[in-house]
Amino acid sequence: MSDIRSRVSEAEWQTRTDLAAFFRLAARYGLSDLALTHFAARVPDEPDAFLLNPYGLMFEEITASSLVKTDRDGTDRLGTGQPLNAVGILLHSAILDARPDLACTAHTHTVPGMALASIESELLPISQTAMVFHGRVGYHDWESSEADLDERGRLQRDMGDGWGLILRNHGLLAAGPSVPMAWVLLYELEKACASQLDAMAAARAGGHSLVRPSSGVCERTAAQFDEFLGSPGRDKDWGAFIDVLDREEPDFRH
Amino acid sequence: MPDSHANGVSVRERMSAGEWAVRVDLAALYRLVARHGMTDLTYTHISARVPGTDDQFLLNPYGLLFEQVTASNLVKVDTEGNLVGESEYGVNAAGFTIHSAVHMARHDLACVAHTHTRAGIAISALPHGLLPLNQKAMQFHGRIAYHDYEGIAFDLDERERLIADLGDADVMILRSHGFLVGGRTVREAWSRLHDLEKAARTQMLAEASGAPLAVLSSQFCAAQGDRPRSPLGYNPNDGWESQLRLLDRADSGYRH
Repeated sequence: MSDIRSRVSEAEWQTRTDLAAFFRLAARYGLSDLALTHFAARVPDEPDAFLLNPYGLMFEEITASSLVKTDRDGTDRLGTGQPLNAVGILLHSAILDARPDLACTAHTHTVPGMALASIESELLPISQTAMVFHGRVGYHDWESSEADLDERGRLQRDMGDGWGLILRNHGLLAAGPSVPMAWVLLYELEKACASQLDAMAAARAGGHSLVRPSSGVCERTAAQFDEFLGSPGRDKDWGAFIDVLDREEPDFRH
Repeated sequence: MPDSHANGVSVRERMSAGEWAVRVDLAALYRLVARHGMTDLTYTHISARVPGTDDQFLLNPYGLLFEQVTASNLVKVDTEGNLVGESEYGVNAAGFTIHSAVHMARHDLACVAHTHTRAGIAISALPHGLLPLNQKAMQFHGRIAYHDYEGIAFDLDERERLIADLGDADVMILRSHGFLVGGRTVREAWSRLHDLEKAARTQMLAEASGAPLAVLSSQFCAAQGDRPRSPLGYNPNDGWESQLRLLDRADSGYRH
């Protein structure tokens, strides 16, 4: 697959490099589930195509060239013959189709994410971290491990104009206007889930109630995050992550 | 670790290619369990049946950490407790009881893994065991056996009760103790063990929150097998080869 670079645009290669870096970061931060979940990024100059990880590859092994270019029908756009996860095709194409403002979507099965998805509670705006998602996260009921095409409409409805989905009884999905912002949103969504569960357990054990900021503060904070996520300077930290990967696992660029 | 040699013949040269392949997979599984934080010092065991036999299996050498297990140093024993071939190591007596019981009764299971993880012990101490809370846990719904604790498994009489409790299940929660997971292959046992552990960790966090649990109904779980195949295809892939490549990159010593 070393010839992939010569077969794609410079913009696509940049997105491939960024998405491969995202997988490596997710692995480093403990957000992977063997080879069972998937992230996608829209191809900048081919808006109906997106890049997806080949099924069976651990996140630590993913490189720019190994990503598969596909679309909502699962077409193998570059004819590389790599296997894809059908639920991955369905889930990411549903969100990217409905939301042209989004560039990247990421799905995880982490313990805190699955735990929040396994209780009858919403993600609560009890911290600045969680307020990014205040009124901006949807809830989607678990249907099946089979990719039912009709589920697309329900995913789109539940996602609305948010930054993520709690996939009930299943896991998380975060989506960003760029690959770097999808990384940040996934990381913060994970932390919001974990901290909420810890706070709930402690509050329950101690007979306390959670401290709840006013809805005005929550909405104001969420709007501040929206503004940041739409600002040109939002991705300026990404280079710092790339530097770490370039030093310690530069093969993500291959 | 180099191959141990007896009379100038390596361990590998004294066995079938099939046995060697199972040894490499089993040693890899020990390393994966260690990497994923599922060990209990040297006190739990994973076994694999020797291909072509019904009464011989491989077990970790007692006294070595999971990170030190290799294809060559796995100890071969039979279900009577006799060492087959040579080894400078013995096996753990309680481990022998539990694993020999499964290998005596369940020739369809090629690999049996037993863990004492924090989440597994916690689940084993709860009356309701594992709940169908999510996709990970759902695969085990109605397919888990339970075995009551009797003390450290030094008593070979416990084997008949282990066998009776396991029945035709592939997974058993050893109450007040930990998990027991079987697979038709080493990689299947790993995939199941990994998912069971993750389901247990998830359940512990969810239950501690005190919020009502979103338990999936039995009807929902049962109906999953009847879902129509997706037009987008279905290519199950457990990522085993990819995981072995990562092991090889970090330390391929398990293959020796």
